[in-house]
Amino acid sequence: MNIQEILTYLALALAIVFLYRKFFGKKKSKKIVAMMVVGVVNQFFCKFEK
Amino acid sequence: MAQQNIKVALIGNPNTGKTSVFNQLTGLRQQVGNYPGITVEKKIGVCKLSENTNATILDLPGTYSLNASSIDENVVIELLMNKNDDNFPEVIVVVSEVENLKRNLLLFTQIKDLELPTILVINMSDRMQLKGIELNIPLLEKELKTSIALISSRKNIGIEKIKELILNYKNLSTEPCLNASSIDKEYFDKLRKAFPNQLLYKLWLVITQDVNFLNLERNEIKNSFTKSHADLKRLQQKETIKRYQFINDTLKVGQTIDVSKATDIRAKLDRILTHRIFGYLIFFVILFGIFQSIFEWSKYPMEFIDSSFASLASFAKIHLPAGEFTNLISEGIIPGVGGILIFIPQIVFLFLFISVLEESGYMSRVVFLMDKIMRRFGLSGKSVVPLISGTACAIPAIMGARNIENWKERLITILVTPFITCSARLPVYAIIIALIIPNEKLFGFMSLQGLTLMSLYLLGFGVALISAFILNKTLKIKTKSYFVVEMPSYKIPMFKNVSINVIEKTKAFVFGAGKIILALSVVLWFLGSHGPGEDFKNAQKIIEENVYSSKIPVNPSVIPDRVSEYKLEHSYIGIIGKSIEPVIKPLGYDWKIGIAVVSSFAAREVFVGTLATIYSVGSHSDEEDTIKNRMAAEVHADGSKIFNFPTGISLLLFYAFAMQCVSTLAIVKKETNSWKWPIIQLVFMSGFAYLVAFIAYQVLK
Repeated sequence: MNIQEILTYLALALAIVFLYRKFFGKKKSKKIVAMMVVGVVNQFFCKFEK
Repeated sequence: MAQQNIKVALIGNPNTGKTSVFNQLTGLRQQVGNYPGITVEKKIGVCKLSENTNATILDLPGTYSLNASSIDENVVIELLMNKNDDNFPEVIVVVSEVENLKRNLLLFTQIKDLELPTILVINMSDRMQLKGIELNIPLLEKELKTSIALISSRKNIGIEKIKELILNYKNLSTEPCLNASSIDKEYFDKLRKAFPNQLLYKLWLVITQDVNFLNLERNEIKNSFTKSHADLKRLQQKETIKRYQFINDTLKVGQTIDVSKATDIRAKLDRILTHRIFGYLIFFVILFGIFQSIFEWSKYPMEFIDSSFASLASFAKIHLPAGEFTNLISEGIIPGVGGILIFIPQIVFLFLFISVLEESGYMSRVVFLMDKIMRRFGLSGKSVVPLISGTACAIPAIMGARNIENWKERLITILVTPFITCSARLPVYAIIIALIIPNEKLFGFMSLQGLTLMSLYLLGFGVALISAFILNKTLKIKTKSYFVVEMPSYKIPMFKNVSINVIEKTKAFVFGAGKIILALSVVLWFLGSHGPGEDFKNAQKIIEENVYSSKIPVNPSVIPDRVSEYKLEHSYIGIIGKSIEPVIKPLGYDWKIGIAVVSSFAAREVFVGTLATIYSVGSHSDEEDTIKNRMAAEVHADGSKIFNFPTGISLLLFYAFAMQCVSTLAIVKKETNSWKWPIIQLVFMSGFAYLVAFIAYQVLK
């Protein structure tokens, strides 16, 4: 996984968290932030292993 | 030396130039927010008084008295009665104006009774000569037990005097200017004895607030001292009469008005502008001029912004290192953000005109003029203000409906305001009109595109009125209403006020919608550039095999375009779009438009940004291309244009009526305190939009 891909996934994660917070409120967003972090880390290791 | 800060509250009747004074004192050092828990706008600004002293100035909502009848007015009282509030002022500046001093002083005398340091600002001194008014300031200062600043915020006269008075506020008298408790000596004596440590007028306000707002919890005082509603109302009336007697006596000696010296043309202008035929004609001509100008004047800056973003995207693609993130920037973020920034010129011109009309005093004439029409549809003249501010955004407009005392009229206004063409619809209209309506002139001077835009605004207004009429007949709420409107004097609009208003509204549009669009662009780009399954991964191979095995000779240069198209169709967004296509096909939309329609349910302006991102992902070209050109170049499989006349009209009508704004639904829920009304609004408006768009497309195709 190169730096461009890491930045892309980071931007995507930030965008989703932002939209989630915007429409569902800040309180409920902790769960989605945790899920996004897991998702990005998972994606990173999958690509890294390949 | 440590920096000192003085907390100042700016209070005054509506139309006294309070906001102009606030703008003059604070310039652009302003913050706009909301009061906690409610949606009344809260404006705070900072003013430098001296080398080491600043003033934090709070611009409170306009109020006629401390006997609040609306939530806006209640904010003022709640603040003045709560010493623990962070914004509780050390000094109050009451803004009044020369022409309506008598009425303005009612609020001033009430505030003086709170025994807080109070400065009286008399604004619009430049109009004194026109009106033949003379003021004896030293005498008024003595009678009103305060310091007075005679100013003209318009001409920037006397602003330094206000700063000087704020700086020396500790020298101000806190003594009330009259003894209001004499209206019922026995009652007030009892009150004084029961609460010896409390300020008498504060107690009185606490009790009467309960009368006006019913639900406030004032327990202790209420239990022991509340008279019957009728008795309290009677006492309130007596108090007002007493205050006006004092004001009359004061102005008799402190103010002289010589009508023979007046050189005002207001009456003549009013006769024409509120005339039952010419009034409407003039209003229509003004509207016509506005929409023509919006299209004509903003054409060139819009083209410049559009081509600049196209160049920027192409520059990023060529000069940044090749890779996923570069694609995200050049195909997702830049076209998405460009898709919203392109509309800044139109938004600026729209608000420029609206601000000029408001500032000049013409808008109040429109309110008066429209009252007769509004009544027939179950609305009040006061509904015009929310309906007109709905052209900016339905959210402040719905909040603005709080001024309407009658609940039925207020509810109807809230429910129909989203039909008014807001600034978020403008980008959608503008791009589709530019695509389907030829840029030609009717009779040599009327732009067809401008005329179409104006028709859409009128259509929104017309449907709002018809819906109001239906709601008025169907809603079974019995209420009585009255209509009082203040006609401010005609003024030449102040450049500073107009520009601050335009900047604030444009900023709200760009940053409010811009952040959502930026985030959505990233998500949409990702969904458009990635896909599940083998079809997406092997797009190049599949297309090449198809091309080379085809019996019809195909130019190899079209292969990259076909690959991009194939990839997009098999991407995540393509799959989502294709699955909703059966629902939107009868309206004349393809799956790409469907994606834009669905994503713009959050906010309408997302439509153009979404299409810009989708078409950017769907194109392999590194060449500069504008959003408009990309949309114009989109074709069906048979080669016919996607954005043709029937589809364009269907889209325009869909956006004119559909309830596509999550924030508006949230504010309707808050204002009506029920999910019932926003759900009715969503179902009715969107269903109606679908039906109208369906009929329009089926008839026109």
